[in-house]
Amino acid sequence: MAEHTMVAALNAALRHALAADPRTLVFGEDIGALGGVFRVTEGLQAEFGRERVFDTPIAEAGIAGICVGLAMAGWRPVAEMQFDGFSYPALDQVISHLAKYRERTRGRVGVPAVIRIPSFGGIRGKEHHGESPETYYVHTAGLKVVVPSTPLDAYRLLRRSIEDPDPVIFLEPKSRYWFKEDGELTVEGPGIGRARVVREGRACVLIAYGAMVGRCLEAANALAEGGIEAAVLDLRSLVPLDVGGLGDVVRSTGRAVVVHEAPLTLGMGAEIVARIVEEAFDHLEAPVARVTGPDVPYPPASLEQRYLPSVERISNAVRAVVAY
Amino acid sequence: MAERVFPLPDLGEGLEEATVSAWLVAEGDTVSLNQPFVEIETAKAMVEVPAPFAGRVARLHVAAGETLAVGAPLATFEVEGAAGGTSVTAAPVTATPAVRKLARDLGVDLSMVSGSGPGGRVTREDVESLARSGLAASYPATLPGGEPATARTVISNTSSEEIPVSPIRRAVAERLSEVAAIPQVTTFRTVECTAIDAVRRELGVSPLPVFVRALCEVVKDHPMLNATWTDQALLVHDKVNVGIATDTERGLVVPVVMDAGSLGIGEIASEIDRLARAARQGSLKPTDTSGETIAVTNTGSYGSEFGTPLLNPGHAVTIALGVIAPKALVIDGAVEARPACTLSLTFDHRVLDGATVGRAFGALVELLELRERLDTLPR
Amino acid sequence: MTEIASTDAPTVRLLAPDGTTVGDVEVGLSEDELRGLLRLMIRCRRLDRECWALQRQGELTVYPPFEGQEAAQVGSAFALGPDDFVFPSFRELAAAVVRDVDVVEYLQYHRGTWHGGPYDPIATRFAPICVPVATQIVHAVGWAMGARLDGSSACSLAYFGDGSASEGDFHEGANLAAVFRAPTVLFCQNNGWAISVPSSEQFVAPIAARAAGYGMPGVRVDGNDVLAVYAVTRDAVERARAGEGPTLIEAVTYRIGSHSTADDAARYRDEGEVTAWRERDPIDRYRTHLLDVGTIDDAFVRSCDDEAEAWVASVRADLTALGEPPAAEMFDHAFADPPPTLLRQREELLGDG
Repeated sequence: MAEHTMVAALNAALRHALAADPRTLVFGEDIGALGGVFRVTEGLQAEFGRERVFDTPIAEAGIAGICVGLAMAGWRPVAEMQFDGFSYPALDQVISHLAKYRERTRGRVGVPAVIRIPSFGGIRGKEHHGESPETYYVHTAGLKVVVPSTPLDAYRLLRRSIEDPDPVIFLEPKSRYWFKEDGELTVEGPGIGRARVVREGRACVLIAYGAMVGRCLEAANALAEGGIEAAVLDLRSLVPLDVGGLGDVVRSTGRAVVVHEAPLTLGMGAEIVARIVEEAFDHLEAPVARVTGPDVPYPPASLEQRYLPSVERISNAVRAVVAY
Repeated sequence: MAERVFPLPDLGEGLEEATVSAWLVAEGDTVSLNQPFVEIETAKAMVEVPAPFAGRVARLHVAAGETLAVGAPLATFEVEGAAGGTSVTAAPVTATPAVRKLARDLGVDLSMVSGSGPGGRVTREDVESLARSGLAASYPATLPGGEPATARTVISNTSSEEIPVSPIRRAVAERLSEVAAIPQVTTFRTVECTAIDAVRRELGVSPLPVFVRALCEVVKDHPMLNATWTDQALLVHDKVNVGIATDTERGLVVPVVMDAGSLGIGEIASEIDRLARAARQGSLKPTDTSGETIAVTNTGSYGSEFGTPLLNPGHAVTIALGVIAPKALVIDGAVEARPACTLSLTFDHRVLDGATVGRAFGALVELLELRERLDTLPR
Repeated sequence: MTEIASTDAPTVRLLAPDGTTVGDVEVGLSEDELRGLLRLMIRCRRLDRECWALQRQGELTVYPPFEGQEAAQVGSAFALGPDDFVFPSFRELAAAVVRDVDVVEYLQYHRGTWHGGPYDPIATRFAPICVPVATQIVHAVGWAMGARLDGSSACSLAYFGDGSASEGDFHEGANLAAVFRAPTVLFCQNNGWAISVPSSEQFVAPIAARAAGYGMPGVRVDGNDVLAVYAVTRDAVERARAGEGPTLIEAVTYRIGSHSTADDAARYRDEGEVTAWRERDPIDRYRTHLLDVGTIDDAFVRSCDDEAEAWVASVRADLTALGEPPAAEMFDHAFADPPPTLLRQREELLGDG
């Protein structure tokens, strides 16, 4: 069993996808010789050549837009947006075209593109480097949106995303890039559209994705010392959302806390709580709580740990929900 | 003055209709806020409705005995001031969705539960307690999906009359099915009743309060009789709250003599009387019907000699008293006719084993048969 | 009259507005093909006017007319080979006709029965109608990059207007095309107006002049001269096939009608300007030329008119016979395989059926 960082796992996923399908292309800003600002694409250009792994000018709308044309020409584009905060110029192409192309062509032309976006905070980054853009994409019909939380799952989800016939927005939790996990890199296991219970518990369930999964596990372990056994559900796939899995776990606990970095209002938590109400209303023993970033722009590095859901805030929310 | 129409509220949860049993006021009467003004019968519960406004009763929209739909006008009041005047609506029941679901499943009318949780919130325990009391009131009138009941087995050479299953019967049936899942065993002992008969005559009470008091005494030495099985732990209760199964026109209810071990026989007797009266009048309060830890049923009042009483959920023991009648007993090697009754004790085998019950049951019989022991009980 | 921006810039023109020859009209087309160009332009204008009427009769929702731009569209589309791929904006019905796109399927877009490409974009090599202007330029570049990677000799052609040229996607697309030597033709129909804003208020230098900044050839052509449009487009296509990268063409033309059936051009422009442009009508000019050189006679013109009339009648009949699409289609094409959450919404909205 080997140990992998998330960066290494993502790199392996891209390498294996490039090797498996000669129609796969990888491109973006600084992804060639440099290997990407986070080194996710390191060595790929040397291995697969400048035609299949190439740098683009700084043109996010262009990067997203050529995905459409390349897909129409029969290629499978895997594009990188350098940072969450720099992905917004591409929103028009993503929303108006990638998401809609299959529908606009009455099912004739899909866009099997993956847009990787290093996302979320927690790395003491500059402004525009700690954004949580998931809601924009989740709210756009026609896109799939996935967020891995561990290296092995990042590998699996990226391979599955590249194989997917529809456009996938692949949000990589920057703060987990260097987290290590032991195990075999494999595409086997839960696919897109499935959530995973990563910790069992009867008292409450913590629902999260990306870096907040790890933080919820920390909180759950701390709570266990006080006799509260909380489950942790890693959503992994925000679209499609595993509504069945979500309902199952909440029905078993009767109590739930949703955790995300994104601001509270109309964040993923709003959708999760609505689904819980639809799926498990009669099983609720307490109101569902949300622990999220506040409705303010992402703060500077020195304040970000005040902004992000902390183990303490998460634990307090669970205690309040359990004591309700 | 302004007229305010008061529609029939949903007195249960999801009830669609109710019947006016009696008007307590007449048109033209003046009522004060919260003065009971009508008796409404819903399913098992007879409910007194307090006036929502102070003022004059302008109109009673239905006659006593009539059934009306929830939301239909019940009475119109003339109240002081404009439409914004005093208006009091019943405080909404607060309960979590899961507790509301439990209440629906157990047929418990949440409006009859006084919540013991924060801010008066009805808790899971409140609902379970009321359900155990048998006072569950409302129950949906149709099965989920509205399927009509159909005979599952038709015997070919007879024709069968199809009697619809009433909601109450269905509620009872479901509770009994739940109870039947408890691993329970019944054991029997016949008590020679000369001593108990003498004591009850001296006190001018029925044998039941004597028996209840004796039971409490035995529980002191055998606390596991007064316990509750849960998946996590056995709960051994410090007070003996004795549920007395009572037959009423509306069905079986189980009012509770609270902390019977702290009472004398006379006090128990008058409490049983009060509860029985209230049960028959339908005026039991939720506190009268919750919290029991052990149950007694007097099947002897129908002449039955012994039976196999079913446990109530949460009880370790239920005891049925058979009829007291002369029986041929062997006394000092000779057959003699003596007043006697057979006790049928059902126990939760998860809580108790046969030997423990045997010892406790023996102690109870010994206490009941020996006059000098009975005389030690507080009167 | 308002002069369109920088009409004094060098412009390729083979036929003068009166039909007289001002350049080398030997563009390599056979007599049949030369006649075919006229037949197509006549057809397209007749269709365009019918569509305007159909909208006024409630058979189309909104329709953007292209009258005046027939030479720009027909001449450029005619220069493409069967494997080349067109990325249109929303006013390129004439180009679609040249590409043999089923017109009734195309018009379903304007009838409001489907979005984008009701026709088969892959089979017709004609991408879906694209309303977010300039976004299609980037798609054309991406397609061309893909074709180049495949070693194909096919190229793409993106149609866009003078208004689109102000969008960021124009810049990103043009630069990407140049950087990747994408085999593509960026074909701007400068029709003088971005809805109500004249070219003179949209940019200062000619659009074609921008090409130098990207490092590609830029050509300004009289967009009402079908032979000139054909010739410059053919040259651009040949460059693309030869691996020499993209070309920017600015075809200077004029939108005779309003921006769309929902617009009223009289509110913002002089009728005199329209009259002046009618004098430069692309069909009149080309027909006069062909009659002058004896490639056609009056009987041919009449046969074109008759044929167009009959064809448009059949389009009208087929179009107005179209029913509503099944509502379930909304759900069928959002994803390749609708996820369970979506199937549930479909069931809630439409029932099982």
